[in-house]
Amino acid sequence: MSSLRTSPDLDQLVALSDTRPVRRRKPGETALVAVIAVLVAFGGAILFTNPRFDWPTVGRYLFDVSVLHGIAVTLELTVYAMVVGIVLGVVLAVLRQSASPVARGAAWLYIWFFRGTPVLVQVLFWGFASALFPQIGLGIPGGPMLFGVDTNLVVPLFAAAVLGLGLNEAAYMAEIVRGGLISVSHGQAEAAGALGLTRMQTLRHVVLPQALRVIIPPVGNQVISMLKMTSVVLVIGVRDLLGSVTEIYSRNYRQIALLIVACIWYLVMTSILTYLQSRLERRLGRSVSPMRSPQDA
Amino acid sequence: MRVRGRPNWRAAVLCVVLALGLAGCASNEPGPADAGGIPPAPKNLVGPLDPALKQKFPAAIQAAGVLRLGADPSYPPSTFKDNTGAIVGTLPDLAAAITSRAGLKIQWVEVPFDGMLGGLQADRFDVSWSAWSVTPERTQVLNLVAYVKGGTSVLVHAGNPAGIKTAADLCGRTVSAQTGTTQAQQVMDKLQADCAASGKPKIEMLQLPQQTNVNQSVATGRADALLADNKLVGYQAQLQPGVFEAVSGILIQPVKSGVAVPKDKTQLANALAAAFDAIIADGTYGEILARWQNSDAAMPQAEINPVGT
Repeated sequence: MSSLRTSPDLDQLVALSDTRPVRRRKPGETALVAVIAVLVAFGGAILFTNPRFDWPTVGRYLFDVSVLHGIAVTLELTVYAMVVGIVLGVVLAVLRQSASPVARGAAWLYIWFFRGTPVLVQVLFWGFASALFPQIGLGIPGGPMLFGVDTNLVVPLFAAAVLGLGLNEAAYMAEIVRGGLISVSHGQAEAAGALGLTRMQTLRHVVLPQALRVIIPPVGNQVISMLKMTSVVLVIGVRDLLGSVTEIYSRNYRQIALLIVACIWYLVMTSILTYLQSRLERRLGRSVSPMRSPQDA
Repeated sequence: MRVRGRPNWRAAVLCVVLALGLAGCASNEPGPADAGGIPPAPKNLVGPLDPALKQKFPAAIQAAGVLRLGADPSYPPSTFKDNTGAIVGTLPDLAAAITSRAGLKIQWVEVPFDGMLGGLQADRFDVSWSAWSVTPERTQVLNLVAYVKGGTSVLVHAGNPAGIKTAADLCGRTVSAQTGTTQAQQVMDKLQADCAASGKPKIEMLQLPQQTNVNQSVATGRADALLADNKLVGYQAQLQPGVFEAVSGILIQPVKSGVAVPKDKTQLANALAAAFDAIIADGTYGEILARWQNSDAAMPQAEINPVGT
């Protein structure tokens, strides 16, 4: 590749067009394009000619009230679970970097447990937490309860779903944030310390803003992943998007059509999130790599 | 490689120990295959020979001295296997009571429920000894000797904290059911309509995809009650009396169920109905249903093809 770059006419071309170098198509590539085109055409034809896809039913339920309500629940769950996950994840990541071995150990233990057990099990656990703790309150361990409230009242099913998803997410977020913190050169913190900033001020004003650039892309991934992962809450009876379509097809037996409805909506939502993610990454990357951003180039 | 292998072995041993420890914690739940969970049989299960009853059976069966029964032992408490592999349950008890009085021996033919009709038509056994819900379609090709009335029953937490005594008490409560069952649909729709008609608040409905979690929702108080098949309700109440309680006296959308013989074997159907009537009359039938917590399903006498009730 380096020999290509030194060729004078190519350099000229790059300079003139102000875009990437023109690439010659290899012979094998034409065949690949043809194969993909045929597959896409076949796929499209099957979608529209196989009556079992039952597109009329898909159309009838795409904007059904309970489906739209399910979408709202899915979005709410995603937002709340990510807020819990990010806030707790940052705290855990900072604790893992802490000078205190107790704090480091506690954060490690949390991540070990919540990352090491399936999220489905955690959601079931929170949904039926009162099997373990019928009451939540103040008491003497092994002794009498001084003050207690029914667990089901403190943790309604929706809250149980948010806790199950959010506490699990925090374990993953902690590792992502920790990666971001490590990526910031130690000299930055030392310099901030030399300027008289406290540890907290250093974290807030020097380290975290720089770490964000490394943290944001994987967080975008986590949000998209969470949007789909919320569907596990159907096991405890929270009616999200998947729960709503499940309920509809359990009555009319149009399972495939209703699952297609759910897939369409999940794809719409993840597409929007993907677009937002790329916008956000571009914005954050502006100060460091101007080449990525067309208006700065 | 060897030096590296050692810590891995230790980790593997630790994993096994951990797994055993966890398994140990989970294994004290009484399961259907646990003989300790099965209540003792009634004393007069095997009754005295009744020659008049034997005369009612077809000559070929009398001559063979054997009644061949097709069974699907996968549905507790109707028919299942205990931890010795023996076929037990409500239906095997009824079979023992009937055949002993008719002077016949039982020969079990194990067959999954979807193979029952074919097995009957191929004469692999005399009677399909399963609980067939009586429907018009089935009585076209079968004679169904109904011996229990089934339907939807209500299971609540032990002690019935919400005080549910009638179906109307469910209005305004959280009620769970398994997604896709008649309970989650037709039964729930009917109850909602009844609540609305009497000006009572709506039922807060909790649909869960697995019956185990439906049960758990009542155990943990997420739901005040659950709706399920009356046999399942009775059995859960029996398995975990400290957790569950079946509400007696509520049977929604009843349907009768019975054992099946081919349409042309009317003599056998009549003989079986007479045999059921005999054990109903002498009280054995009632004791058997009580053994399996199914007293709500009792019928005053057997009926052949009772469609529509």
